[in-house]
Amino acid sequence: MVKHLTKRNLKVKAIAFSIVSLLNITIFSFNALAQDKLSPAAAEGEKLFKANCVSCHAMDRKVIGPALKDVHTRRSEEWLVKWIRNNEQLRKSGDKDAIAVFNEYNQVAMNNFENLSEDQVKTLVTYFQEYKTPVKGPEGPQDGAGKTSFYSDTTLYILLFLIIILLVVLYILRRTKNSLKASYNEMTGATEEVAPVVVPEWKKRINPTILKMGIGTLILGALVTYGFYFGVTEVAVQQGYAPEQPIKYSHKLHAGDLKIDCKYCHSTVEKSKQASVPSLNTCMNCHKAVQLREKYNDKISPEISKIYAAMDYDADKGTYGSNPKPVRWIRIHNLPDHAFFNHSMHVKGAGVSCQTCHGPIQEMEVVQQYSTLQMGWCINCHRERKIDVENNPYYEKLHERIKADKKNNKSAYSKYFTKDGKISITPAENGALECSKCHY
Amino acid sequence: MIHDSVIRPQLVTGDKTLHDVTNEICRPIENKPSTSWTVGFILSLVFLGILGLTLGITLAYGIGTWGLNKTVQWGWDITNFVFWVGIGHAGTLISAILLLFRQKWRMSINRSAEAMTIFAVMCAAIFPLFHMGRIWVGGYWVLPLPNAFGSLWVNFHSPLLWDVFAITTYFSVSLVFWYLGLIPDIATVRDRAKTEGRKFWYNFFSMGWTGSVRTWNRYEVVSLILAGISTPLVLSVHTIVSMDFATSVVPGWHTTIFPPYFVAGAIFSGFGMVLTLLVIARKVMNYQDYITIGHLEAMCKVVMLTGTMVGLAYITEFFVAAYSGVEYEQYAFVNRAFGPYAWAYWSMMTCNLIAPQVFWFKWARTTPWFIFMLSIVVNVGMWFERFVIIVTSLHREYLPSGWVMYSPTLVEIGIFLGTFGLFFTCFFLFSKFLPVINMAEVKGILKNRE
Amino acid sequence: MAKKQLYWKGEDELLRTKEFLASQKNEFNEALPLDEVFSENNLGLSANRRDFLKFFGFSVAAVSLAACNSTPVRNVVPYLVKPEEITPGNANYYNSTCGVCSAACGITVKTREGRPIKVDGNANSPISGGGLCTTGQASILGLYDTERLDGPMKVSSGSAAKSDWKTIDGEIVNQLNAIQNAGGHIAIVSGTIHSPSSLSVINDFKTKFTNTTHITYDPISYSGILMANRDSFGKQVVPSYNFDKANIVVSFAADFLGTWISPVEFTKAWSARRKVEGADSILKTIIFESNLSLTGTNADLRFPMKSSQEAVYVTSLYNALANLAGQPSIQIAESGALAGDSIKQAAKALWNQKGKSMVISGSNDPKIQTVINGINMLLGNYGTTIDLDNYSNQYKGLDSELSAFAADLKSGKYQGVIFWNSNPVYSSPLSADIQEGLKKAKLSVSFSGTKDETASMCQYIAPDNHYLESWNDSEPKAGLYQLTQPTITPVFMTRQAQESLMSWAGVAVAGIDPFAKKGIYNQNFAAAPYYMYMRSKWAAMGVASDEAFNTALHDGVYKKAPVAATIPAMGIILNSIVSDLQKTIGNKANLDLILYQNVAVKDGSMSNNPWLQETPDPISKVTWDNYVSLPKAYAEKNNIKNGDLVNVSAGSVKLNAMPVFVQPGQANGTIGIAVGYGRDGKVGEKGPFEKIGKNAYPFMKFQNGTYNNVINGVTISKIDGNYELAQTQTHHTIEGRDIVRETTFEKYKKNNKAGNDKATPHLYTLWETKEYKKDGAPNHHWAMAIDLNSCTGCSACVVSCSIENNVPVVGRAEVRRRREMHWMRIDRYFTFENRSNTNYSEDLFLKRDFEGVNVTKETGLEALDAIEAAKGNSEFLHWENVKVVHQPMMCQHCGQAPCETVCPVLATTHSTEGLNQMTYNRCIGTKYCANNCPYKVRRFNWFRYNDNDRFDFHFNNDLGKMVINPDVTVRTRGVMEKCSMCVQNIQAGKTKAKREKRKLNDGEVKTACQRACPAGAIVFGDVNDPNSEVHKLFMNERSYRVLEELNTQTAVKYMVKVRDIDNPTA
Repeated sequence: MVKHLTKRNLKVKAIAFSIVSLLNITIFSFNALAQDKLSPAAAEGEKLFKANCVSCHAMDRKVIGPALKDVHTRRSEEWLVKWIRNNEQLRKSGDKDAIAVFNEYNQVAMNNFENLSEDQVKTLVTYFQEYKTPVKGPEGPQDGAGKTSFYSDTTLYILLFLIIILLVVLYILRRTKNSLKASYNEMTGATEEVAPVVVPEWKKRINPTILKMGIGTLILGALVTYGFYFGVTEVAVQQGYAPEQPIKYSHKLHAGDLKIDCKYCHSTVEKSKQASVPSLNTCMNCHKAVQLREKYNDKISPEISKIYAAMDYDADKGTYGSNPKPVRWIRIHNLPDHAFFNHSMHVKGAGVSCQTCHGPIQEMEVVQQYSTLQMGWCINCHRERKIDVENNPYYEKLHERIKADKKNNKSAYSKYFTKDGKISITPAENGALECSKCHY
Repeated sequence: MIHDSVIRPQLVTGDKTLHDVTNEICRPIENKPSTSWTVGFILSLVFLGILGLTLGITLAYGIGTWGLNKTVQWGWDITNFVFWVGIGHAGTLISAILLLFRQKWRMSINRSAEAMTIFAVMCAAIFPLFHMGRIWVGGYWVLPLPNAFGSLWVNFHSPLLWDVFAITTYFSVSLVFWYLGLIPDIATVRDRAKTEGRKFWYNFFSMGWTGSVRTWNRYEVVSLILAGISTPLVLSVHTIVSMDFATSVVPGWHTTIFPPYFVAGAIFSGFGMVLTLLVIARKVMNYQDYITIGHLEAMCKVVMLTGTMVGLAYITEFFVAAYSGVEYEQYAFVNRAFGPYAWAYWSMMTCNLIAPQVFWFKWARTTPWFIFMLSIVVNVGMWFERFVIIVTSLHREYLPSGWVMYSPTLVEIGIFLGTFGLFFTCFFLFSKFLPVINMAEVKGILKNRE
Repeated sequence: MAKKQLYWKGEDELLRTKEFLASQKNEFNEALPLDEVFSENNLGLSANRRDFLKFFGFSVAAVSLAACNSTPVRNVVPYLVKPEEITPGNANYYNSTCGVCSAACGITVKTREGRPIKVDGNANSPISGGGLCTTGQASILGLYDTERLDGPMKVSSGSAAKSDWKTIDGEIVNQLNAIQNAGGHIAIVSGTIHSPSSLSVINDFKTKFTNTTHITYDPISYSGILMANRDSFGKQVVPSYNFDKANIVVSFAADFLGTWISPVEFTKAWSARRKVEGADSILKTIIFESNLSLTGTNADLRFPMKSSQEAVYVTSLYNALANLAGQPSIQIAESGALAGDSIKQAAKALWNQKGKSMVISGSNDPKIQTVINGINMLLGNYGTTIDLDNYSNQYKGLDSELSAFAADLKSGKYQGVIFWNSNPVYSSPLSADIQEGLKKAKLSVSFSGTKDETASMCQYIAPDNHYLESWNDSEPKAGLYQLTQPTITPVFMTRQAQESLMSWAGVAVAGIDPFAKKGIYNQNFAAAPYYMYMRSKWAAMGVASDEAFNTALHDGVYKKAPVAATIPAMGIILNSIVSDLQKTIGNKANLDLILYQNVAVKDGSMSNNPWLQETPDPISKVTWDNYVSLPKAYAEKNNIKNGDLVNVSAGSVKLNAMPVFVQPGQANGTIGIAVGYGRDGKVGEKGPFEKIGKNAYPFMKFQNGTYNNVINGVTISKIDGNYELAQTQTHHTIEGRDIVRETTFEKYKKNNKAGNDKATPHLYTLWETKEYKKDGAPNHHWAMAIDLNSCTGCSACVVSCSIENNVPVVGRAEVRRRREMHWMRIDRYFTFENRSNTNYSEDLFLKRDFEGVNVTKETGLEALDAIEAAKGNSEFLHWENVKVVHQPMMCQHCGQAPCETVCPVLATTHSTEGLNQMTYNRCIGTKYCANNCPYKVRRFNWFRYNDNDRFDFHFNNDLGKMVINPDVTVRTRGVMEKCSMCVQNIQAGKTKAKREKRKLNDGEVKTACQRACPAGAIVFGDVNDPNSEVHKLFMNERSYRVLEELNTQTAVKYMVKVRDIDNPTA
């Protein structure tokens, strides 16, 4: 899990600032190595864990359920299997441990996972066994705030202003000095013999009007260039936009520390064009139980109570009222209406990680727009990524054609073969730069 | 460097001395504006107002305020564009080509002709700009600028893009050429200036002209170079304008003879306009001695020649259509001559082919009022030519289901009249603040220069 | 705009609260920053605006910069509890039943975030067979109609006031009881109802209020057929017409492809039998009619008929057949006195196809229909092509009932009246009597959803739900049941009519609500009492379990095994009705008026629907008006031209200042006027409530116990003034150009390339062949094949396209300026046919050389008229005998597109999948592409058509905007647009396939036009896939490209039209 994240972070950097690909490769290969440590079974288990458990469990800390690191030392495998697949039954069967655990976690029943086969649960357990608390990966880019054009500009302006002030002061001082000197001379009657003004040769040759005009032109040109640059890079770019949300939901806490899988809340990201802001009942899944009373001397955490308010949920009675009020989150990533971005295509279809576009979201206390979301930024990615033609039957025809052309070395598609015999074709080469792919 | 023959009539009549020339040409600049000037200027300001109003309406509501429809999507807008660009031709032609050919008679008219060019191109530019549905982006998207769209460039296949380049180049070169010619004269005005303001501005624009031998020398060289540059432009601009149509698949547009035919037409209309203006100018500012009958006559000859060339082109088109054996092509031309817009076609024929033939007679070439009348006819005729080419080709194309009629709205008409307002406003200002005749050069061809 | 919609999920959208509607204002903001900045209501930006005004003054640059750099605050409002079936961003589909007319087509409703946005045919339903007509397509806008009442209304002292259900229920029940106790009578006046549950609701009502009568009344009634079958066979039903079983159909003015009974069903069957591939016969179609109807334009043989003489035609056909059958003939005056030997030919043709033929009549006269029955008996068509046992329920209204009702109402017999889905004050000729009677009635209630003509005369309006908000069942044909399910919670505080009746009759609902335990926010409609009621009825029908019912609900259809068709006995001697027949025969010298339904507007119940009004009439291409269609001969004689105004009068009924359209094909001595116009209500054009066209219903003539649409002896008088009809096509001949290709069936059988054997021109090109066009290209190549032989020109595709792609409605004035925005149009070309020439050969069609005159140029046409005149032949027979072709025309997606090369900014480009892409947000609107398009399919946004009071259609109000398709950009002013081959669906389909790691299947992606087409004339797909349907069609000998010689290499191919006209008698 963690390794994934580190990999992502680096990758984010790589793509966001398009580091030279060489560096890129080395980093990836390093991560690749780092990743190979989990046995396939454990890897399988990790998947299951992320899919089913993360909403209530974390490896290193108590969430709703206990921390599962070293759980295999505390419990036997078959017990775990029983418990996980149907803890209710286990409790009914009068298993002491089971009941103990149940009571320890103020009698919040854990879901039964009979859909998981025994073997699957076993892989889960192997994952628990092989799991090691990770060393913290390199920090994701912290420049979120720094990137925002607004702040940087203001500082710039302030600096400029100061400089101007200083110059003015300088000028005034100089004037006063001169005038003082003059009056002093007057009083003392001292006269300085004025050296004859010598006009240098080059000055004679230059026509003053032309000089003025020349300078004027230069200044004008500079201004225009800056204006143009500003227009291209700044106008309509809301990178770093981080508004305050009605509920101070922290991605750092949930996605980062608790390691809840993004897809648990943004559940439609793989089926729909929208990742979709989760409906509040998703929050309730956990926060029915998690109220953090311990933190707020036995009061419900103010933020969580906002959820309850919205749902009109009475925490004490555990009942829902009849006038809920939807939460009006503030939208951060505003694509123009004529650009149709499809999450499912990118996440499920192309296997792009959330962080690629949204940055180190798991480290953001307040979510901010990480990428420029300018068209050029999209295009750039389409030019760099590779399509996985081997493993997606949709591309079967293309795949075969490439192989065929390679065999009877026709030029048309064989160019998509890299030196090392791998197929490398970018979305761009497969028409992903065409207007109607996103604009219709 | 004066080689005037004994038999040739004088280019400048009335035994002017150098001083006379300066005095007379600077007169309108230094004296109070004449009433005729004031009246004319106010009148053109009114029309300029109309331009502002109608363009404002177009911007506020959309191109829908014009008479265009699903089939005829270019109407008066492009007609007027080509019309004005055409007018814009004579200037450079006169100054550049005639300079290269050392035609001295051009010297007293080239200044105003070039000014006319520049103003005409300005008027022309209005139409391609405002015929765009979204001028606020179109204004710069047609330029190949670096951008944040992952570098989205312009379409170099598109004749419209060629047009952008052609027109801008033509405009800038003509402007420089014109301005260069002005520098010595501005300096003259500067030296005669009395008030501070005049001194400052004329000084500024004369770019510190000293009149030293070196500057004169440079001046001569540069004008020759510029003349060299702009000569091909005279041909290129309208060639490319013609390609706006020639590269399409529209029957009646898709023709290979368009380039020469358009260039001829442009020179034709250009000279027509020059005549119109000069005949007025020489009267209003009594420059009869500088712009002599000789000048007018020379230009009349050009008009007659180009007019006949254009006429030939009209007839050739029909032959080509008939010979091509393409039914759509054939129908397009039959429709031109006998369809619902036949009236436009025939008025074009009369104005452009038949009318100029009267210039075979010396009387016609030498009678200013008649020349004036005919120059107007020529302008009208050339406007109709563009209208015929654009509208009659579009309104009946391949699929009969799409056949429609087109007629302009008040807004379109207003814009067209408005451009005349712009044109004349500029021209009046020019005649008030700048010497309309190139003193420096005219002085060079005076008989008695001592 | 559309996209922003997506984020309005959740409660406040589902139950359209006022705040939500209000808040919409901020949500729909413009694409171009200018407007954002100017708009006052956009608080986020107005501040900026002021600043900039201060600093820079009013300059575009400044303003747009201002707009750009501020982050507009947009909200995301997720569901509180997301219904598990909804995935934001994905569409859900529900099978239901179309509620527009009682033909009851099965439909599939597409919803996004609980909002219906599109209606298409449900392939399971034998009625719609996957297609849907223009009216059905457009009906979805009825749901978002600003004219709908947002709650019950009560008329007190003349003025209608809002009320609430409790109050009016109380008052109405009291009234009903009072009437009941006083022994007064109550009438329920409804359109045809074939919903078993609804009918039993009415019965329950009857049992409560004993002397209640249920009057069924259809504005366009089929009483004639009902009565004829009652008289002939003792079965008062409309039979099922099985076009699929017939080899020849002879129709007397029955427009079965356009408006007659169940057009979608018939079109489906008809077009299936017109498929020529490998067929040894196709359904020969012969029609006798006065107005040029849609069927007329598709018939193989069309004979102009003076409808007032129909009886003569019909009897002489009967007699002709009777001779052949050796049966006694009908003794009727002036029989056989008919132009040409058309009838004889028809008789021969029919006789050759005994038992496999069909004769139908559009007349509503029972006697004529009886003769038709006789003819079909002679031909032994019953039990085969005409089925009385599996009859149709689609129309059950008897005109006699209405006239009786009107009389009784007037006489004060009925003290209580309830109008359900019927608007007689508008659509009945007895309007005056009913209005007078209504004043007398103690209680008058209307279920109308809008304040229509009848409702506004009633004391109470208890608005019914829109059919997309309702539960219902239906039995359009005996043994065929269809279900209607709500696809959205009621937009307004309306209540289903059935529930109103139930509550008034105090009907208790049995059974438990299966939705009861559904989440904390129970969908309001789930527990609907009528739903429970329906369930109990279905349980009685044998569909008790949730599973069984839900399967039916899922399919939308529930069938019982059809009964074996029997051959009935004719229980009437035809000669006994001769005197009645004689009555129907009008004076030949007089002018006939034939009332007809426009294919889009139909009976006018939805005439305030801008989509329908903007859909051009398939024959005249007129929009936004009804008009008098006049035969050329009459127009010439009386020197009337297109757009002149005339007064039409028949007896006491007058229609003043009607515009004239000289209609080729209009039979001499007849004129036509469309009904369904002249409704009250706000439609389209700027300004207050404005009527569209004029109401022609009052002309309907009562005769032989039915209301007849044929009125003999009308008079026309030309008046001063002129009126420009808004036509989308103003040039009507094809100029002999090789645009439409066609042949005859015989020739086709001999040579499949017949009519399509034109040598392909030598094609040269500058460009190299694009990759996707080469053999074995791994990419898709999207393409479309359109079968001119199946296409009837019904225009369903036009509406469907407009809905799918957010095509704006522009209104009459703009259509007059030739600026309609339809991405898809249907080109209609007339051609002339020589009447004197009796051998109907293809050469006559598209014939350039007509009696030595070139008719392809209008000049030639005039010359032709001159010749006719010279012959002293003022009948202009060539105008009466036109032939017609329909050609759907949309962007051809040229492989080498003229539009692409000329765009200076690459706003229109070519994709590697063969699509011609139009990128609105790059377009700067030079319009060169449109000029350079040989097919003239590009449409320019001359104005901003949304949020613009000058275009006050559904794009201008928040309710109407609900119908916007969120997957398609709403175009702003100044950009070009055109058919995209529904690229949004292509992308969705591809994404799905990639996601699911599989190939994209053929037919998985469908265009809107393809989905709509009842005739299946449009096939879309990947031509690079050798197994795809479209690939096969592209290989077909009949396929050709329009303007191929331009080497545009279009991705759309047309299939040669084949007419069965070689031997009319075969």
